Amino acid sequence: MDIHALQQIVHGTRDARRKQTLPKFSPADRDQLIHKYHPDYRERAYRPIRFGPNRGDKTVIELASLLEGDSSIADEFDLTADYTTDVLVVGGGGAGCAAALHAHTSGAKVMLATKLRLGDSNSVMAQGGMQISVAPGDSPVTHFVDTLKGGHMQNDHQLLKVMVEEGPSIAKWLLSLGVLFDRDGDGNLHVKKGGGSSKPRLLTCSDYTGLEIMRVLKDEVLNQNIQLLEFCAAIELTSDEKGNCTGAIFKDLDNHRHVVVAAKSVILATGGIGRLHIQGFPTSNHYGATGDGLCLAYRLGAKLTQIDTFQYHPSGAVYPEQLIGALVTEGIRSEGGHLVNAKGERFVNELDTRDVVSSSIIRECEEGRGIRTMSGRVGVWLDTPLLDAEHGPGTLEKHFPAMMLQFDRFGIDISKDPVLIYPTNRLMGNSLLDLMVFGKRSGLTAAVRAAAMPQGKLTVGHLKGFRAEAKKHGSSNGIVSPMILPAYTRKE
Amino acid sequence: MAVQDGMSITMMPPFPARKATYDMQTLKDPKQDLFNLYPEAPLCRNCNACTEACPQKIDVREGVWKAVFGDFKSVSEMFMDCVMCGMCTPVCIADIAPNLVALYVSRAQGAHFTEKPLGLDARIKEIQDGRFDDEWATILKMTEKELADHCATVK
Repeated sequence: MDIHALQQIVHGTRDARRKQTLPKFSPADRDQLIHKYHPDYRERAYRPIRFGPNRGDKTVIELASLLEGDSSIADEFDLTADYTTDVLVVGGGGAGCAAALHAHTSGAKVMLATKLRLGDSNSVMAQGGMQISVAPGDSPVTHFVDTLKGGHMQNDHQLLKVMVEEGPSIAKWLLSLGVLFDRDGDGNLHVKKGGGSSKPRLLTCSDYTGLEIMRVLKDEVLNQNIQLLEFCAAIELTSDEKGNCTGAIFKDLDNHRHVVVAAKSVILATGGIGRLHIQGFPTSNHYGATGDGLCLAYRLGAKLTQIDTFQYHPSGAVYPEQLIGALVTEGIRSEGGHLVNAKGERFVNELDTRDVVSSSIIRECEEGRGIRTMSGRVGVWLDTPLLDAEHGPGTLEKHFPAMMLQFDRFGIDISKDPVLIYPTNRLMGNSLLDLMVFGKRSGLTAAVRAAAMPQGKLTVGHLKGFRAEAKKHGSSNGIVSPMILPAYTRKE
Repeated sequence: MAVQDGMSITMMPPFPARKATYDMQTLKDPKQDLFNLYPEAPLCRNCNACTEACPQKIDVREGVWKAVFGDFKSVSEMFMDCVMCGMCTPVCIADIAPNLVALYVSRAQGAHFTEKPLGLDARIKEIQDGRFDDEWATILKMTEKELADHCATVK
C-alpha cells in the first residue's frame, strides 16, 4: 500500500494521542519485554569464543569469527620501522582526536593513523547531545544514578564515576577550543532532557553536536601539526619479548604497501562494530566501523569486556530506501514526538531507556502492528509533525535542521509527514562524553608512560602463540582479520 | 620512468585549499587576525558560485562577507550546517576556502566572543571542593540491593 495513505492514521489519531500519558513499564514488565524482544537475548545469534583471552565467553557470531581470525602478517615479516613516535593513536574519530590532542599538550610526539580520513567516524554523526551535569538542580551523582539505571546496574562504578565527574571539565575544554554549545538567555549552557534520565542534562549544538565537536577537534589536530597517517589501516600490532605493545603495522589503502610505526605507547581508538551488521541489523555507523582494534588487541592477549551487550538505537530510518539505518535523532522523542503503530496507537513511553523503546518497537513489528514499506521493510511511525503542533510551527526547522534537510533531499517534509523507523545498531551510551573523557585520560597516560620508557623491540612474536592455539582448536575458518572495510558487493 | 613500482595515484583537488594554522586560545584580536590568516577573504567578487555549490543550502557568499565585516556571530549560526565537504572552494574565483574561513570564524566566536557559562565554572569548582564527596561515599558503600532501591527512587 502507498506509504502516504498509511500515514493518514497518524494524522487522524494525533489529537487523541496528545491527551494521553503513557506510564513507564514496571521493572518486572520491562525485564520481560527486554528478555523477549531485545536482540541481546537472541540465543542463536551468539556463540562462545573458542580460544584466546575470552575463551568460553559468548558474543555475537560475527564478532567471534573475527576475533578468532588470523593475521595477514607472516612470522618473518620485515619490521623495520618507517616512523618512530612516542604516542601512536590508531583511529581518527572523537576519542582518537581527544587522545592525540591531550598527549600532544603533555609534550609527547604524537602520530595519528586512521584507515579513512581524519574525522571519518561515528562521533561526527552524534546528534542528540552530550550528557554533562551542569544544571544547578543536577549533579554528577544524579548522572551516575541515571546511567546506572539505564545500564541495568551493570556499569563499572569506578569508570562511571570518573566519567560523570570529569564531564564538566570536558565541556570547559571544548568551549575553550570554540565549540558552540547551545546557550540559555543568561549565557549558561542549555540542557535538554534525554531518554532515561531524570534531569535535563544534554548539551547540544542544535542537532549537529557531534559534527560541531569534530569540526573543531579535527581543525585543532591540524593546527597542532600532529603527524597524520590517513588511509592507513592497522592490520597488526607489534610486541616485545614480554608481550608489551611496541607499535603497529599498517596497510596503506592507496598502494597496498605496509607501513611500520614504532611507538612507546599505542592507543587504540578504532570505534565500534556496526558495520559487521550483527544479527542482520542495518547500521548508522560509518563505513569503517568494523571493530579492527578489538581483533588486534585480542591477538596480543587483551581480554575484552562486555562483548555480549550491544546498543540498538531505537530509531533508524526505514524509509526512504536511501536513508535505511540512518539515525533519526532521539531529540525528536525528547521534545515529545510519539511512536505510533499501524493502528494509530502509542505503545511505549517514548522517554524510556533505549533498550526498552527498541524492544517494544520490535515487539510491535513482530506481532503484526508494524508498517510495511514497498520494499518489504517494517517499522513504526515517529510522529514528527506533532512537534510543530505542540510547540508552534517552525519548531522542527529550528531545532532539527540536519534532519529536515536529510529528508527534504527525498521530497519528504518531516514537519508535515511522520517518518518510519526501526531499531538500528549502535554501541555505547553517554557516548560523546565517554569518548572525550576516556580519550583524554588515555592520551595523558600514554604521554606520561612514553616519557618514562625506552622504545621496545618490534616483533610479532605474539602471533606464534595465537596461531598455535588457533590450530589446537581447529580454527582454520579462513577468516583474516581485521576486516578493514565491509564488503557490500553481490556474492556470486 | 613516469610510473614506478609502489607509486599510488590519487585524485588531487585542482586548487590550493590552504588551511591556516593558528592557536585559537592565544589569538589577541581574532577579527583582525582573519585578514592575516586568510588574506584572500576580502577579495570576494560576489559571483555566488559557492552558495550555488553548497549541498547544505548555506548562503556561503553572504557568510564570507559577514566574516570580513566582523559579524562572527551570524557566520557561526549560518555555518552550523556545514559538513566541511569543501565544495565551495574549487568554484571560488578568488581562491577563498569559505568553509575554512567559516570554521575559523565560528571557533573564534565560541572561544572569544561568547559569554563564559558561570554555572559550568561553579560546577567544576563544586567537584574540586568535594561538595559531592559525602553523597559519593554513601552511594559507593551501598550493597547492590541498596543501590538498586536507591536508583528506583530517582525519577
